[in-house]
Amino acid sequence: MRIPAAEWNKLRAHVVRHAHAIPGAACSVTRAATGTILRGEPNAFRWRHPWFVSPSWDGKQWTATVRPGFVNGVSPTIDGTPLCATPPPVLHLPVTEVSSAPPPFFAALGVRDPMEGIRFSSSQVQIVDESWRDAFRPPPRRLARCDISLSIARPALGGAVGLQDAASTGQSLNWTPSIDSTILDSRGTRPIIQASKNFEPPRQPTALDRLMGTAIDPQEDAVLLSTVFLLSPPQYDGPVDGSWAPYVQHACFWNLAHASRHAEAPDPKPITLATGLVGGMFDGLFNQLLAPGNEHADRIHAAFASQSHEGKFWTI
Amino acid sequence: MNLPPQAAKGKSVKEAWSAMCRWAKSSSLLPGPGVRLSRGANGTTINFRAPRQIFQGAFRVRLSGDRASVGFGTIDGKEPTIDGKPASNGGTIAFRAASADEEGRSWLVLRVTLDGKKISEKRDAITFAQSNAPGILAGPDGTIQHPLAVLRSPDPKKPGVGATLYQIEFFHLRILRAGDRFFILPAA
Repeated sequence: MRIPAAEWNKLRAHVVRHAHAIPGAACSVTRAATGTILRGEPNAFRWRHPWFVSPSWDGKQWTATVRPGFVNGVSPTIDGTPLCATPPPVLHLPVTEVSSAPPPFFAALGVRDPMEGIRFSSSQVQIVDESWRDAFRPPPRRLARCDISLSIARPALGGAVGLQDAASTGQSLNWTPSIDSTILDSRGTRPIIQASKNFEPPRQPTALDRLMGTAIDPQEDAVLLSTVFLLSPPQYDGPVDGSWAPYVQHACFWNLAHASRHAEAPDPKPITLATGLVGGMFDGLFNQLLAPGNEHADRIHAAFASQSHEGKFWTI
Repeated sequence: MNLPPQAAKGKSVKEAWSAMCRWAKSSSLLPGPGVRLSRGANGTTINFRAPRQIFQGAFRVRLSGDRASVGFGTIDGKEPTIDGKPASNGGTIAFRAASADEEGRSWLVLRVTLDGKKISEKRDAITFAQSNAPGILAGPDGTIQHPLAVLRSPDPKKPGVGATLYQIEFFHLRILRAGDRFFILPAA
């Protein structure tokens, strides 16, 4: 029997079109000789919160990707690439071994406290053999960690203090504020995500720091997103590599809003205080000015607070 | 995937027939884990048992072509409206990727019209709009905006192609007034 090639190819096209399983959302299709296997992907339905961190070993070092989150509706960047970009930006993790007491979760998995067996008293340091505990716990493992944080640049408030002595009226104190916004020129106002060995929230200087001229106002507001822990295999002496198991402790689960203390940058306003005092050391004088009940204390605190650019994050 | 070969004029169809049979066999559907197949006269029904608890949250934005619908959500206990009707009644608003910013982003925002320090009683005082800026904090100029979702196109020169919708807001909201400033926070 003769079959025209055109008819055969029409039949072929019909079969291919109608017997062709196409994977839709949350399912996969694997074609084998014996049939086409359909699989649902339950993980596609699993809730993944913003800022969800997925660590991975790239063959040379530990890296992480961060599920897109938003600050004031804007996606932060990693090394200048937005989190929403395709492919997503990769964060290199500068992991460092934990040298203090491990969290209880990891202690239960075999991570030892480096200070275990060392007892301190007022006069001596005693080392006690605690090796008997090893019979009752998993083999020793090591722990490394790294923090992932988010920050937004902001101007910093600085200032200079001057004291003038007048024999008739006593001392007067002048504080002349200055605003340092150089970081905004280099970083802009877009939030960034960084990895660090140990994140510490920016410390706001005290009023005494500002009067003493030792204040270092951080030029950013920052918040911890997560801590990545890496757990070594049992009894492992080598460096951190792909054989270590990652654990992520998230600290932030929702998108964020951020606002500075002021809607618009205030003009720096100097303050002048007639202390009524004569002479004296700076720190003693300033402590006296800032003491509770001193008539100048509230004014000084209010002046610093009203001119600081410190901002706050909140979840939305 | 290897498709069955096409037939050529003047050549035997036997080889193509065998390949077609192999291909048809490999096309028969087999259920994987969690999948149930029901074969009937009209075709094969495929069921997949998905986890039941899927977090949705408030103000869930869904896209359908150039229109967006927003799930139930409130601000200061009031539900937004679209054309005067509660948004959860199924109303949709225009949301086109074509009008994106230079980074390929376009926001769907909650827009609240204020009357002094209170939400206005006007029609559609709380509604949705497309915006090229998230505009989260605004002054007492009559309206405040809060981003609910952002649509981002990978290539800003081709808005809408391969665009991804990211949900930003998951909670019911309230407005906090502090002096002349307004802040939008999750409702307690």
